[in-house]
Amino acid sequence: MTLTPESAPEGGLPAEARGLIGHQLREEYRRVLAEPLPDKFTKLLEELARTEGQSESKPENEE
Amino acid sequence: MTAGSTGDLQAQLAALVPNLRAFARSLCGAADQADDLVQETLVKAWKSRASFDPGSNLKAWLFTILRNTYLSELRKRKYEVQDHDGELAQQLSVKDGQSSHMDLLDFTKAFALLSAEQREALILIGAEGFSYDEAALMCGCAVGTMKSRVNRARGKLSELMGVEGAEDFGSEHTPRPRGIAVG
Repeated sequence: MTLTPESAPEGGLPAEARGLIGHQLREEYRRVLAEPLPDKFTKLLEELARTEGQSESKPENEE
Repeated sequence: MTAGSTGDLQAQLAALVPNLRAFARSLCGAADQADDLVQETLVKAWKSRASFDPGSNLKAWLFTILRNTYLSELRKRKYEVQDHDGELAQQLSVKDGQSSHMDLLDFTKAFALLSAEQREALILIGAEGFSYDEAALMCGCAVGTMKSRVNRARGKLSELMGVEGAEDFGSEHTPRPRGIAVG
């Protein structure tokens, strides 16, 4: 069975209602996506890459 | 792993942080908790990067780590994180089929009232554009289960938001009087 988002699956909503909900969902998601990133993420990734550099020559400890 | 590919992965992870944050926010609700979850995900991803197949979808891999981390914490803490936002749920005391007696909600409030599974399904399919197959794989469920989660999430949202046509949704819902306009 193949269901595209356009076909109305059993128990599904009319296309218009789905469209409205989908639109608001994406709007809200985009709003969060567009928020400025705190520095902590870049710092964390740099930190991870650094520790990798140090441990690269020897066997890695998991924790 | 060469230094070059380490740098590549670092850059690729950095590029996906906004998506991870947005996904985490949809699961947790609270922004600070969501950011903790993203940090934990990045650490786990980095540690287990050897198990990532470079030919596969990095975003799907990261999202899977994030949702598994979230769910295992949820199980550990034994509280419903959706009830984090869920003073709201209590105030509204929403029950299925009773939405005709309450004020209609805006999208954000209605979304917070969905179950974690429903929020996850809706975001993966509706906002991130993963296929049902991909989303089912990420969530460890059948494709049909993923489809029905999305359907139920949409139905619940439209009911809470009073989206026109919602009264036609599903037989388990009490029919509402017609004529409730979209806000």
